[in-house]
Formats: sequence, structure tokens, C-alpha cells
Amino acid sequence: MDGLNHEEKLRLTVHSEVRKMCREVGGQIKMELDKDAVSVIAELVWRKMCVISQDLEHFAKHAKRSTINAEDVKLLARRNPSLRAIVCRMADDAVKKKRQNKEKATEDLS
Amino acid sequence: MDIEGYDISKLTSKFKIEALREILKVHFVDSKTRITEDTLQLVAEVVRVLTTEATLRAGRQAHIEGMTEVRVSHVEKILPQLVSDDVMPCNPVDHQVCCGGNCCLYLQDAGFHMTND
Repeated sequence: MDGLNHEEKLRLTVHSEVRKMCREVGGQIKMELDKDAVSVIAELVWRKMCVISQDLEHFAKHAKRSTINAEDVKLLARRNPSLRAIVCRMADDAVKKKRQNKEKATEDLS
Repeated sequence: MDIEGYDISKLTSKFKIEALREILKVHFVDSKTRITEDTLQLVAEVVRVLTTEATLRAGRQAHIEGMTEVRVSHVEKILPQLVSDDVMPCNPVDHQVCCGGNCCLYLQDAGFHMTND
């Protein structure tokens, strides 16, 4: 991997993660993806990550924060009700879990 | 598993969180911008859904054409709908009925908005 700059290495990582996921989904739906098809999907994911990154940063900045949080990700998903529902559900579950862990920790102490 | 009834909870692959952090960092404009691990998990899920959706739609296109191997041409055909912003939201009733709410094939409402490069 010498001679590859940081961005190129990250692109390769995305490609390998996407390939792994496409293979698993492909296996589950009994279809194979040829390597060029996987490359196109990986490129799509890479570009989407670039846009996501900039959007999230802007949303946080707009809210006068420097740390991106769940509200920013929910905003990202605003145009797709199903995706937004997934993000909201996952964020709520994480909050619930944290609260439960905190309660348990306080119980253990007392 | 069927494409139409695909259940994403059966998908074990997940994006590496630290790799995701690095990738997002590269595109931040402000060096002070941070993202927590919990938030990264959410972003990872968004990316996971995108990848799965692209694969399922391309797979469905290949299936429609009577093939079992997904090619670039199939991916190309489904890209516009996948990234389009001008979509009608999926009717929640139909969505529930057709896939028990777990399906990731949001047929009518992709809306993965992309800027034009």
C-alpha cells in the first residue's frame, strides 16, 4: 500500500467494506455481483460519504455546535421517511440503553 | 431470502466505525468538528442501508432481465431512482403490508440526495 495517499487508502477500505456487504446480501438473495458492479456501488457509497460528511458538519455548525450528534443524522434522513424512522428508532434505543445502564450503575452503588 | 421481502436485520456485515470516522474527517472543513461513537453508529447504519438498497435494487433489475449475475448495467439502471430527491414518500400502509416493516426496499422513496459532481 506504499505510494497510496491517505484518501486512496480510505477509498480502498470503502471498497472492501462494500464488497463484503454486497457479497453477503447477494448470497442472501441468491445472486452474484460481478466485480465492476461492486466497484460502481462502492464509488456511490464513497461519494455519498463525502456529501454526508459535509452535510453533518454544516448541520452541527448551524446549531452552533462543533460536535455532530444524532439530531444532525436525523436531519440528514429527512427526505426519506423510512430511513428517518430507522435512524430515530436506533437513536432512541441508544438513549434508552444508556439510561438503563446509568440506572443499573446507581442501583449497584446503593 | 426474497428480494421483495428482504430483512436487513439478517445482515451481519457492518461498516468499521473507526474507518468511517477517518473518512468523514477527511471531508470536514473545520478542524474542530467532532463526531461521537454513538453518532457514528447511526451514520454507519445509513451507509449500510444505502449499500443494501443499491444491491437489492440492482439484484431486482438483474432478476427482471432473467439473470442471476448482477452487472454494471443493472446498477446503472437503478442509480437515478436511488439518488433522486424527487420522490413520493412510501405509503406507510403499503410498506407495512408488503414487507412487515422490516424490508429495506423502499421502492418509491429512495431520496438518497446527491449533489451533482
